[in-house]
Amino acid sequence: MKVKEIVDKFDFKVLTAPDRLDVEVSGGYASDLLSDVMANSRPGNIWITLQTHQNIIAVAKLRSLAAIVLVNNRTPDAETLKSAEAEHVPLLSTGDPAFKISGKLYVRLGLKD
Amino acid sequence: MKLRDIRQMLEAEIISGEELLDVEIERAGASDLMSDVLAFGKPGLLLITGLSNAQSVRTASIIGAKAIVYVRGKKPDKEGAELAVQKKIPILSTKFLMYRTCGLLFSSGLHGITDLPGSERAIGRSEESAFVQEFGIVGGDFSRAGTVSLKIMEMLKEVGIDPAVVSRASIAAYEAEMNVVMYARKGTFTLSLTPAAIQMIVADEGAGIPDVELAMQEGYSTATEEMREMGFGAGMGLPNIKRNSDRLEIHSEVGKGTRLAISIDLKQSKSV
Repeated sequence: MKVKEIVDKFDFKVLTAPDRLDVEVSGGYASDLLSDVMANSRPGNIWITLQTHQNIIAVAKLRSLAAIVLVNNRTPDAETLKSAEAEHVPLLSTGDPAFKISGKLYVRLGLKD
Repeated sequence: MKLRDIRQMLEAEIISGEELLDVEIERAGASDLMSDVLAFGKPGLLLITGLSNAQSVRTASIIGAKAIVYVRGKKPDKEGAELAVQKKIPILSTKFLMYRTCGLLFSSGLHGITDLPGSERAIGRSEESAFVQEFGIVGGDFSRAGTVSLKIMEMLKEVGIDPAVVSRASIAAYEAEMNVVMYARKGTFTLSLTPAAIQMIVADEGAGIPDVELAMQEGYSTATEEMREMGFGAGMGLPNIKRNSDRLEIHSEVGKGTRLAISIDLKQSKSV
């Protein structure tokens, strides 16, 4: 399943890199600890987090993640938006909390970890 | 010797960079293996190769080569040709084989890598020689944190290293970089590439680690509350580095700083 389809299905807001949504998603990963994401996420994962500072972009890029979903309608810092655009990392946002959006992706889309 | 003269001697076709033919060339190196080029390469080199894909141009760019000569009538692919224009690396293509190309250039006075006056590398030490690049890291600067690791990842990818190895190296690099950002005043990150391994030396001036063994334990962290709120300091940094490296040495002196030597074999030897 591609990022674009997930965006449409759950009405995520696309905050950056709208031209990079045609990417296959390998699964989901939910965590707010950056080292944990570095250690355990897989390339192509969609990353669910509440972290909004710009270091999440480096993590997403280093792990070749498909996209970052910010939960609870969190707004990223201006610097985060800037580096996400520069590094072509799609930043998405949802009104759902992490538990709910993880559950939805897992159950409704069958998107595993 | 000017590149223009080299072109004439090799009866070469100019693929790109016609405006750069007056560049002075002092030394040349010939190889079809880009990991080898990385190991012996030096800035200002004329790279002679039969490998005509974009990887050869990327490697030339990384080592700071002045020009590329493709032998055996090879020409760069589209991606390579575009990259060469972008990086301002002139490209020639000769019909001669590598042996003859080297012979002609050598006999007209072009130096090799190891025989240039003042060269610090002696013949026969190629096993130890490596491509080396150094980066600075500023302690406490979270806004730029991760940029060194990203550069290193791009670089390793560009030279065609196994993606699984690049992945492990990026994780180790990121954690090492973040440790400097979080706990030190400043540090240097030195990347060395040999034909066999990636080596990363990360040395900082900072608080040091009082008990390395304790710091290696999963979950142990001395991060501040502020760092933890940002999702750092989960006590996974050093264990992550250890898990992803083939060899890891840590030397730390309290009040002075910490030095990590991380080594990862290019031949994937462990799965993480």
